[in-house]
Amino acid sequence: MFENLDPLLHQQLRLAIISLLMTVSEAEFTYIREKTGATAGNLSVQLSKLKEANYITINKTFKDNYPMTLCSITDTGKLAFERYVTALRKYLDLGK
Amino acid sequence: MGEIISLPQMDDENVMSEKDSIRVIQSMIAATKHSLLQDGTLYIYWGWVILFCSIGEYVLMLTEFEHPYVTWLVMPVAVWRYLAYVAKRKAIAKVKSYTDEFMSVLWRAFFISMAIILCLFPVIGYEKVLPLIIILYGMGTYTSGGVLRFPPLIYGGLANFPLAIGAFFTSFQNQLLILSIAVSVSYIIPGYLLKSNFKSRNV
Repeated sequence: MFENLDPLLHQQLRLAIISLLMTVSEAEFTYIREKTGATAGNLSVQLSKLKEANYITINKTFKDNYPMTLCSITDTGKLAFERYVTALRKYLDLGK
Repeated sequence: MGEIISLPQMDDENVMSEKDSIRVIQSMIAATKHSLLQDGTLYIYWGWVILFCSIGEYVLMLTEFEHPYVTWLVMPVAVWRYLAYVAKRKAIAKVKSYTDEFMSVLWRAFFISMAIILCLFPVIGYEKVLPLIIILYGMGTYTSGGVLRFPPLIYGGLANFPLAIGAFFTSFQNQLLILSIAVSVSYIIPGYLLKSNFKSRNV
């Protein structure tokens, strides 16, 4: 039924992460957690999966001596998101 | 916090429906739509600074004070406070939006342009400086309004262009009055409306 949809993006939290990162140039881990309402543990897991697929980059740095994790989407991730939305639209059109 | 759209639990690994997918995408776009840095504060701040300086100089000229331009001596302090405020806001921001990036570049270009005009006023002629600066105000606020899709900024910015044209044909003293009108309609009023709009979106 969803064979054309990217399985990596067809998961609620991962799709939310990618959708959020599509609209900003970079976002902190805490911001993503706040907007998605996800637990820190699950968010870390999903971010790692997206990073492994080269959909996002994760930059760990420090701000005022506190660790800070910055995430941003890659060109690969943007392309994957666009393909996902295109496939989603086709599916929705078929369902009409 | 912006729009609140009911979503399936993010930690849930169950299969999403196509409608859930759309809702997830829409909710995230809505959640990040509005930049935290565009709350009107800087428009209000600069509007009042320039209004104070321009009206102040106008009044001092009326009283035939010897150095009516002294009101503009607050500018270095105003710039320093502005830079400190922006640096602080950027430091605590957890997200960098494309809007914020564009605004940074736009207003940097604005300040560079204004600095060039001010430095070259002996060459340009002091009576041309204020009309040129009003044109820059119009360009800056009109563009900002377009990016933010905020009509008061757009119309306020547009209003600067006929004001600038009128300023070219009047005395320097009257140009100060026109400048005060320009910043009122393109900075102060839209700034307060933007602030009010920001507050209502983030209740």
